[in-house]
Amino acid sequence: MEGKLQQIKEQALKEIEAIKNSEELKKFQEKYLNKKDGVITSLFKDLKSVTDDLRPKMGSLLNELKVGIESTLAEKIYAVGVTVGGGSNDQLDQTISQRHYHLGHIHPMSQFVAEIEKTFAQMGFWVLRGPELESDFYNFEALNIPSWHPAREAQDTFYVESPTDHKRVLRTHTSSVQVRAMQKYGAPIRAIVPGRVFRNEATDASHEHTFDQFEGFIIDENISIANLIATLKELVSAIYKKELNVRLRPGFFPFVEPGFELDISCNFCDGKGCPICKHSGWIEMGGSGLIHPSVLKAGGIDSKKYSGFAFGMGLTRLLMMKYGIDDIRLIQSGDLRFLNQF
Amino acid sequence: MRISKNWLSEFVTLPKALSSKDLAQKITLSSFEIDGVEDLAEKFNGVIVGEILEVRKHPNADKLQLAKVNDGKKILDIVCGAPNIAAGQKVPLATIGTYLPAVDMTIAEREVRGEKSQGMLCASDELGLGKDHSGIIILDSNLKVGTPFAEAMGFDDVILEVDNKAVNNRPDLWGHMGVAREVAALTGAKFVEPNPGKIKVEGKEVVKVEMLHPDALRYMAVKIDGIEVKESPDWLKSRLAAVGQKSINNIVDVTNYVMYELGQPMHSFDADLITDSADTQIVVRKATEGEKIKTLDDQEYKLTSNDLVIANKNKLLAIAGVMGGKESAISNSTVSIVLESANFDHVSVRKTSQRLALRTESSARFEKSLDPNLCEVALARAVELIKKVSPKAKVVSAIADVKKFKLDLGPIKTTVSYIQKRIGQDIPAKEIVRILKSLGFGVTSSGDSLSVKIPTWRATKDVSADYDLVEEVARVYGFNNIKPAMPSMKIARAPFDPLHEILMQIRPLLAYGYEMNEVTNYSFVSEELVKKIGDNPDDYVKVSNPLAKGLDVMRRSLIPNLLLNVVNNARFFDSFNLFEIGLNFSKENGGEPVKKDSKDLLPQQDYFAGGVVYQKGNKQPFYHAKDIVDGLLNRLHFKTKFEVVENGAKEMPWLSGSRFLNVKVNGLKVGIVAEVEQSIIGKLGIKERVAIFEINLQKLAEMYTDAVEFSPIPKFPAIEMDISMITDRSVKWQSIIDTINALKNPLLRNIELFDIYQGENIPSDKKSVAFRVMYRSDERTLERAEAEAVHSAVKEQLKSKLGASIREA
Repeated sequence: MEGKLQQIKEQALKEIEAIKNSEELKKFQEKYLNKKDGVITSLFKDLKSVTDDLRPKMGSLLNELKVGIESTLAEKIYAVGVTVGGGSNDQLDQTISQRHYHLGHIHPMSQFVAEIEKTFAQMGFWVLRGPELESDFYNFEALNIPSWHPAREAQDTFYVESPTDHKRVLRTHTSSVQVRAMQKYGAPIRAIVPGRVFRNEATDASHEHTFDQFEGFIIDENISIANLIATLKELVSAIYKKELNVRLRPGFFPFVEPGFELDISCNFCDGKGCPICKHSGWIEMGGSGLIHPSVLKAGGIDSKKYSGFAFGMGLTRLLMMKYGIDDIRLIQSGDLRFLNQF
Repeated sequence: MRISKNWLSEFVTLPKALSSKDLAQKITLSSFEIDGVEDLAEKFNGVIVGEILEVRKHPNADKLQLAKVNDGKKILDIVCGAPNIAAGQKVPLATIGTYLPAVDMTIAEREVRGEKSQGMLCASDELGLGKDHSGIIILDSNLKVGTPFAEAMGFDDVILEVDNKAVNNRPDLWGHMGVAREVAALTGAKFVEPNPGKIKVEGKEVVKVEMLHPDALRYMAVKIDGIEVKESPDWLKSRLAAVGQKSINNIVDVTNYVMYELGQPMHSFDADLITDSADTQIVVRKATEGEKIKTLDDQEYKLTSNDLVIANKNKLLAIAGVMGGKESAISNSTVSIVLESANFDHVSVRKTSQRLALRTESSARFEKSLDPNLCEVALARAVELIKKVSPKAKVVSAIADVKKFKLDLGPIKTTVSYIQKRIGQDIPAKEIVRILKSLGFGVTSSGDSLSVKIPTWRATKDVSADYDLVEEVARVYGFNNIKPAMPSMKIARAPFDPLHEILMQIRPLLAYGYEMNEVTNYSFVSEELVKKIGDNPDDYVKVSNPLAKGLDVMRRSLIPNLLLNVVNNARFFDSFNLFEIGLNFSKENGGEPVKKDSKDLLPQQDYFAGGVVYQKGNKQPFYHAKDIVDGLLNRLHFKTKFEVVENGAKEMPWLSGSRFLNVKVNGLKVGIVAEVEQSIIGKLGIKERVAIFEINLQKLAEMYTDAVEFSPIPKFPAIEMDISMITDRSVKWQSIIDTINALKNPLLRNIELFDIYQGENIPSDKKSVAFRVMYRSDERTLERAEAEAVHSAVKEQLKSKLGASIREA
């Protein structure tokens, strides 16, 4: 018996030695270690017929044999590698897609706003919000836009019914949040306000009565025009993720003094001139200026101690420029053929 | 507005090296935006004054002639079809290579019936000067041969185009004089004040003026006799043409000329039509309610007591500052005029012209709040020009001048260091003073202090305080010469905003977790749609001045517009889920105060998330909608419960009453899940069932938590056992769960539904429900017998409480 075991061992080790792939490995396992009729299994079964006095010794020899084969085999398994599911020779067509995930889409404006919010938050700006249906006070009066100002003319502003004498409007700009924020948080403050605004204007491919803007402002001691220029240059470069230049032109907005139109060097042609910037090298970004002292006053901020600047940009226009969207009405169309592209 | 460079040059000597484009750029960067630069001479490039030396018949064509033309350097042969040419004439000659835009033609040397032609003699139409093609234009014989045609004709002007809006805040820039003064400050060139001289009075007549309302600020007038109304001379016509003003007659043209030159609107009345006694009487007053006037545009306007008018004793003569009356207008037979140079309150003029929808060059200027001092120089200038275009004219009345205005000319007390600090650059004091003076400010300085007197033309509303001076200095210094400098600010944490947290998380969850597409709709909803869905528009906030039908009320819910999205998208897609996040506007006034500490509150306007589920062939989209809400709120760590509401919600009659759940968090209702009422779906033309949800994110934010209670990972295995039972159809799954949980057995860990069946082999009022119950202990490995004991109790409970019959396997 002992001799037979030795013979089996030698044979098995020889066969292990010869195994070259997982197929042969499997055959070997089947032959020797199959739990029903493998060679080793059969030997254990044969133990029953061995006489009592020999059985312990034979048992331990058999065990030794099994462990020996298994440990040698373990090395071989490691060397050959085990494959699952039939190996890799089954001619898979990698060019086919099988699972079609129907993930939804986030509206491009929401994506853009989230990006702007993130960009500004990184630079320490708070993100604030305010009512879209706003009081005459916060939308106009507090912003140094007295009742006779042209911006109030009915053709520009949506008014909504009010149960009191105080007029109510759909905010015409996100600037309406400026004074609310000053009253709530005081100075110093640095914040942006993205959001929906309304203008009572006929709609066509480039005009909408409902669109998105964002407002930003900084109030602190000794804020200057030089600060405004440096900050805006940094901000627009952050938005476009490259170094851009800014240019100020005089612009009139009642809630700032002085007021500026803000141009940025065209990010499509790096200021060289292209159809998008009408060959001027500059793109109009929005308005800005030092916050008018009477606006600070309306916000309860001491304009002797503090000064600040504010800027506003049209998100809808920037979004259209970013993606080359040629019809502003698509943005609020709810049309999946449009939305599914983003 | 169009600004003529030639006209500017009468008040300022522009540096020769400054091109028109550079001038436009300079103005744009320091004063106001120039939209375009139009070179009037450009379309005449290549056209010169030529002299015809000889004309003879074309040998091969009856209607053509051959001309020898001197271009100043050589003699050209030119074939010409016009009959009116003759030797000795000076004519416009288009030289070889000239492009004529009016007829889209480039002149080349060519042969015409065997005779060469080296240019073209031009008729009016070929130069874009009119429609006349009957003959070649014959020019003044004194013109020098070879002179560019544009120069010879005074067409060599450059026009700067300006959007009126760009100078809304600068009343002084509504005439060439003001722009010239600005340009002088920007370029360092000298500004020459207009000096029309004193008006010479040659008569003893009286123009009596009364101003009866404080909206009349100043009224100056003179009577001029000896007027001859006729066509204006060329210089006057071409100036007006350059700024886009039609020529009417010499007198009206002069009043317009003065307006474009000095910015002061003028008006002339026919004196004989407004004078009823010996004296001329003019009253400036408010109209009486319903008073009517026919104006120069032949329209009749009904006025109100808010409108300021010019009148005499008997009738209205003009709507003050807006337009003159037809009855008092000058005509070809006018021989005597009353010339008005006045100033009216800007708000009054604006309101009247706006209400009457009558916007004129005059009202546009008065609206900006003109300097009342301008009346004087304008009147003198107009008299000067009238005498020039109607030489027999003489002023026969004393100058009437009634004024009731006050201008705050300062001085503004400020400091050099304040201006430097606000600009953020140490511009030298000397430079600051120089800039202010160049703009007409009177400056006295002592050390750091400045005392700045405001010029009258900037004092009406434009400049009043130290911060206004910051702008003046900065813009002339050049915004782009200011060196950028970063502000330094303290680090400050942002106020925690749970709504922001929710808004940031919810979009990606709905889109990428629940396969929904985000849309954004208008905040408006149409009254028509409101009615269609069985709601009452009176419960909505109404827009007082809607832009169009369909934009008349503010949405109370995101769902109605989302349903329109379903209608539109169903044309192209079989199945989709849409969501929107935005404000809903409640009629109830629970929002922010209209002013700080006011009790007058704006409508409640909360952020909502609304969704619709539309899937072809899905008979129960309700479950889909509910599962989205359940999953979403769980993911946001809210403990959510759904509450069955019999008969739905009264405030949303367009939702099904029997497929409706309230969504509750911490016992508070935060939203709903429902199916849209079948009849509404039908009315909208939707072909599938539609389920919706709507959640108030503001309310969620109030309960926001990022706390998750950690449970240790189970150490011991669980035992799962199934129950299959028959119950009444009316028994809801929730009540099965509640019934089992009522046992409060600590080993009960989870109940999971896997089948509900109604149909064959089950009585029609019954249903079969199958589910799996999981038992587990945290202290030890559960014995099967223990679990079975609890399981039996569960079965008993279901039998006794719900009358279920359990199917034993």
